[in-house]
Amino acid sequence: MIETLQAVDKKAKFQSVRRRKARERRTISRVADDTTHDCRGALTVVREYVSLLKDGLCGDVSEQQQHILDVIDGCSDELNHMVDNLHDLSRLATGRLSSRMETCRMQDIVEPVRPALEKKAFLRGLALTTDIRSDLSEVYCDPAHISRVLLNLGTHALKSCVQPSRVHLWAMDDQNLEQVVVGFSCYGPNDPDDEPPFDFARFDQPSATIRAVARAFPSRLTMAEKLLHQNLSRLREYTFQGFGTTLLFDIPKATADEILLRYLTRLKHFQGNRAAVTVIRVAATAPDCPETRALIEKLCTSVFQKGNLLLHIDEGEWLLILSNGTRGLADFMSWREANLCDESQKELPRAPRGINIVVEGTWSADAATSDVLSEIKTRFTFSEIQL
Amino acid sequence: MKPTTSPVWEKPSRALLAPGSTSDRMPGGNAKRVLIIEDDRDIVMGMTIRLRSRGYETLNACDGGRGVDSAVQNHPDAIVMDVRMPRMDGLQALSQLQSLVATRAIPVIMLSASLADRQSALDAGARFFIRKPYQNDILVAALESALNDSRERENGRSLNA
Repeated sequence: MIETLQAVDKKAKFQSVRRRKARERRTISRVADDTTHDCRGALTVVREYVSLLKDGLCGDVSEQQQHILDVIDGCSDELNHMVDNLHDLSRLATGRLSSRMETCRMQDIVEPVRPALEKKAFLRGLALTTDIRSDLSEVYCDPAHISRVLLNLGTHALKSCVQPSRVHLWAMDDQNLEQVVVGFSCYGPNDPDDEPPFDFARFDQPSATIRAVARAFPSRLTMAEKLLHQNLSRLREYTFQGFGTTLLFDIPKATADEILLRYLTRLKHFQGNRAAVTVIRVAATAPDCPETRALIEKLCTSVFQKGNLLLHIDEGEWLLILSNGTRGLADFMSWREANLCDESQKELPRAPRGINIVVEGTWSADAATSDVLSEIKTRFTFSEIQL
Repeated sequence: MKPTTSPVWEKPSRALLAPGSTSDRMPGGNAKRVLIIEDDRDIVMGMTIRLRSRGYETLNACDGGRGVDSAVQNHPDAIVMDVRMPRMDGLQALSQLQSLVATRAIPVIMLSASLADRQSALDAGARFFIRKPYQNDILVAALESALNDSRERENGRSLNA
């Protein structure tokens, strides 16, 4: 009897804490949404009025005035990015920002960002050079997030550079690991014109000052670091003697092995030996049906928001890697419950109409990451997985 | 140095931007009429100057309710409307505009500082959604595209008739 009462009391306390936390999350979200909304309203006026002046709609503009207006315009762009960063940070803190990872090409991500960076470089009197080859391996990431990372890192690099100097944006295949490395290198006036030899082994040599970029950095780097973390990537800063400083990050190539390995490593890092994953195969029997598409869309949003992994295996087929330590599996079950067509279908492996769900199993990450990976791999033919 | 131009706007005149007022600098009788429904007077003023410099006639209203009334009364060729406004917001106003025969065909461009409003604005029937802070050339391009679409639709209708 006492044990039952204690259990009820514990459950009530737990629910009370959950309600309080949910209330706090809602407050943070509302304040962040309202504040960023108001900031963007003010920035709209700044940008519009500067543009009216620049276009000569309010009278003649001298060359000097034109330059000043360009600087104000550039600053309003930066403020806008900072507002976006603050908004995204609040969404990250409240679990509302998710990464929609997909197979993409670095060149396609960099191209739309380049004009904005070139404009910033021009305003600061710096040169921006890029070297993103079209034959780089495909990467697996959220392209919108990586664009934001490039803008943040590029702006930081351009701001940190001392004139006259240049910033070089580059990307290259790592020959040793399944990753593409992307970096911004700042070359000071006394640095040689040649780019440093990007031999990755050299990063571990004592001549390179290495530090992980995480704390005590401006909001741009904090945001970049957090977005990269969501994309199973990490940000580092290197300083070579005789060469400039390089900010770089690595993005996993679009191979299931590499992505799973990074996901499990991260899970173990945060959850230790408690970490476990449940692997679920989801297949849409009619992927073109709008109702099924809407359900899958809801599923993807739910899965991504909780920091789980979703691998798009084939047309209408996904592999869900849900973390048991977080609320991954519980949330998936809630999603399933909420979207079931009728009560009789609530037992797994039944699923909403048009979707087949198969729970492949649960693996503890207690063992070495590689063991977990090979254990999962025994159930799946990885060569079949085309990301 | 930019070439010398005569300013379109010489002196701020907020009286000109009183709700429901129209421009007193109408270029000819064929000028397209754009209704700006926005509660931020500074944004209205900037947008008014920009659109007038492009030869548009402008009207304005400071909330959704007044905007719908003005649209019914003045039959603008296009509407540029903010989403978040006091009293009646842009989405409610858009829904009313879509339900009225007199205003259903008017193309509406929705503006909002929040991307979260994008889908609901497009679902409600907005022709374009533009996020604030916007680039003014994007706004003008969207407006021209919306007006061209309407013109083509009207031409198609007269041919069918």
